[in-house]
Amino acid sequence: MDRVRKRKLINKIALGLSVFAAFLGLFWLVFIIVSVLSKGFSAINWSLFFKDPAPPGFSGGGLRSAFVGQGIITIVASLIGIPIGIMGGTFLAEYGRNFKFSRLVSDIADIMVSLPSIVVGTFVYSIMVRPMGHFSGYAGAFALAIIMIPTILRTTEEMLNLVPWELREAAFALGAPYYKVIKDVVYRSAAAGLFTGVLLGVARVATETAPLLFTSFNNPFFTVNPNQSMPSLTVTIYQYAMGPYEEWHRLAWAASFVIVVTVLLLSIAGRFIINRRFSKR
Amino acid sequence: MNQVLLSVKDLNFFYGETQILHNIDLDIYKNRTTALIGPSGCGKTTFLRCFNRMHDLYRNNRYEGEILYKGENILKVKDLIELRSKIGMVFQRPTPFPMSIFDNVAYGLKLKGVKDKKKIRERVEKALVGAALWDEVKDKLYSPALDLSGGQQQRMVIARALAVEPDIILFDEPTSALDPIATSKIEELLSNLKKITTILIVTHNMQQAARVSDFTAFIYKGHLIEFEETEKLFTNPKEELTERYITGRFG
Amino acid sequence: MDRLYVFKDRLFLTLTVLASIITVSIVIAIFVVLLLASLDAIKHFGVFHFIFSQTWSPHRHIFGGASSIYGTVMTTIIALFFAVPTSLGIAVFVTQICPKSLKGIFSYSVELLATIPSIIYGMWGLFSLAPVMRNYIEPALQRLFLPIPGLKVLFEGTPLGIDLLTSGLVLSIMIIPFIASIARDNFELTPKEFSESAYAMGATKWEVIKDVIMPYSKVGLLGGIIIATGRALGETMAVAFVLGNDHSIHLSLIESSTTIAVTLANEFTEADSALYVSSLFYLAFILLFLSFFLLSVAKFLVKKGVKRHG
Ligand SMILES: Nc1ncnc2c1ncn2[C@@H]1O[C@H](COP(=O)(O)OP(=O)(O)O)[C@@H](O)[C@H]1O
Ligand SMILES: [Mg+2]
Repeated sequence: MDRVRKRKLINKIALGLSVFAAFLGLFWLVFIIVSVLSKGFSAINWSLFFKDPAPPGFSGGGLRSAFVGQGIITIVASLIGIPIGIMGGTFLAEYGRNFKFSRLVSDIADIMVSLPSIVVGTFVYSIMVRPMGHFSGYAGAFALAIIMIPTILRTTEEMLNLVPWELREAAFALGAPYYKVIKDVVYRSAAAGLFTGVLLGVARVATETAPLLFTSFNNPFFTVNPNQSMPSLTVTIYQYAMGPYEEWHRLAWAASFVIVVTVLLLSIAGRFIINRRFSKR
Repeated sequence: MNQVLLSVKDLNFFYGETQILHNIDLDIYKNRTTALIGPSGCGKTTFLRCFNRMHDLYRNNRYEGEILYKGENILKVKDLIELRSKIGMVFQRPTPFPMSIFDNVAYGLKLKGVKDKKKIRERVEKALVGAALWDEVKDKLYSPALDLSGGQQQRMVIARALAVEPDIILFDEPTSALDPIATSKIEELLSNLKKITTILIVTHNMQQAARVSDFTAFIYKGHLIEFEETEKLFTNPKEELTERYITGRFG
Repeated sequence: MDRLYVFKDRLFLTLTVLASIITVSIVIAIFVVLLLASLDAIKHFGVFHFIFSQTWSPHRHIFGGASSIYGTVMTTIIALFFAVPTSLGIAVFVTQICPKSLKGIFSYSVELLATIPSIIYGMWGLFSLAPVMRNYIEPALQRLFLPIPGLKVLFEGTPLGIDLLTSGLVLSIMIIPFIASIARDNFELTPKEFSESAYAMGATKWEVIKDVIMPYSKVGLLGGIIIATGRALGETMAVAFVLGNDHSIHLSLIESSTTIAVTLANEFTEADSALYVSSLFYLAFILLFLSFFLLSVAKFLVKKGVKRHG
């Protein structure tokens, strides 16, 4: 009997610990979000979005240039990364679905998703920044595109694989060539999933810092020319947070606030789209 | 008078090394309905999918023999797009594309390069009327096809096949995923369809074969055992295997 | 008309093939380019000597990677130390304890941790977590462990909050969602009959988890942990904020240190000699090689885990 009591006690303790672990996870999430929201909210004002940084030590500046820079870098990265990712994923799920080569690409892309992004930064530095002789927004965008491609490629592959084969066969049976089957039937059926995949892929790189450190670098001045070094929100946060001025810390928190709110909204939107998609079928 | 539309001669089919169909000889008559019956796994679907060369979508499939169609061997045809626009197909489960009802039915026409809006509208309407669906959808042509019920979807898919005015439509157990009411609607439709086209239909339901077809082919283990007018086959089969199958003494 | 279709189809096929070839080529190119860029340093310092030499002195043009590698490994170990039990606990909670209605929202909350960018972890670590570590946690740990002879070395020094322990803790929070979600998926793949037959023999819930579900899931779990390890190794920003940049090796967990990624982040744009730059590329190559190796192993294990279930 004693043995049974001991077993029951161990059971209670173990399950209690796992409940504790679960609440620890929630605790971290709440701790992080509340910190950023509370410290960031008070730092938000209009000049954050409409003014450029004041010289070091002066107050009253904003981060307009960094917002614009981050936007431009992300857009250029998306223009390169989205088509390549979607096309590549399309090959794996459609034309190349029976080839060993496709499995290899898929596995390598999976590994790429988790490779350290700073390594990508050093790579782009040596193939773009060094030959060109200067940092540039293009280099930053290229680094982000490299990080974006495997994510989008893999989600595209998975989303297309969810489309039933019968649907493709039905289109083939009407005499559609494969590219039309893909464009009219497969992409349309997977549209919500593809959109979410792209959204998450873009959101992921849009908040990257490490690969920008030595590609787009930073620029104290407003610029819309990606052919020169470009400021970005994330690199600016790093620089400001590590700097000595209260004003910089305030701006870094404000920028963090904007990033967290955006990421949360995007992620909830993505979740919503996926839920709707699965409840419809 | 029965006019031969398609003529299958000594057809063999292989999935890789496994031979599924053995020396099949069969004529398909124009504006008639031919049913393919046989136990599950005997090769009915495999046979049906030879006519529009569906097997070409996958690797390692091999055909031998010929299916003559307007003097040409289907199995040797190069332009599958052209071939498939003349030979329609309807699958077991409804396959509505994720677009409006109208776009679904017009899809084949657009593939063929028909640009004339008015002509497309006419053909879509005609096809939907032909598929006995027009009255139910004429007010919601532009709503998503996915919103239709299963039976309606299947009739829409039939309309989609009809719209390009094919010479023959292949049906692979088109009612097996539908409820009895939807099934009887489709069977009624099938009986009317042979006025405008030729039908080759796979069914594992013998009553259905008896109800809708003019000719019936019984396939067993990849061999064509018997091919006859439906009435004769069901009332007075020549082969013992056929008799055992239709009387349910099979096992 | 049909000619045009064939042409367009070929064109589209070619584009998709190209895209997948580009993807693979990028990985190969990264390896080749980083290796070429590190040749100078490899020639100068060799392999073993570079990995085990502690000296990192730009003034004397001597570069050894040991301090960065040590910091990388230590922060990762600390991260795993915190993250693995927490993640397993979360997975047990979600699959075995949590009421069905709360399951979705709870899993989602944990996954949200993965969507928070590392720069935010860095900010939070530096301004919110580090002060708590400095003022409360680390002094408490010192009171607890300094009297114990064997553990003394691990907690010596002045608590500053900018150290291996804080970095490891931040990293652990970042990798929890990965391990937890893979653990959850693997737990859920365990066939019902297995756990039910254990219950039928009078096993407690915990015994079923420990003796049936965990063993059944171990291959997939291991894969998930290795993926998380790969992530922790290469994480830059979250660590760069709270580790300091100190190229000396301290055993104490409350001393500052550096990792490969942090060294790169801080020194890459400042490196003023060819050998310096090349040594940094050498570090980057080592990091790439390590991560790639670990992730490949993990990929293999996860696939094996899935195959066994499927
Ligand atoms: N893609 C395939 N590869 C190999 N064998 C197949 C394939 N598809 C079907 N078969 C086999 O071919 C035989 C005939 O199948 P099928 O034509 O689908 O039968 P039916 O439609 O009469 O039920 C079955 O034994 C089946 O297992
Ligand atoms: Mg069949």
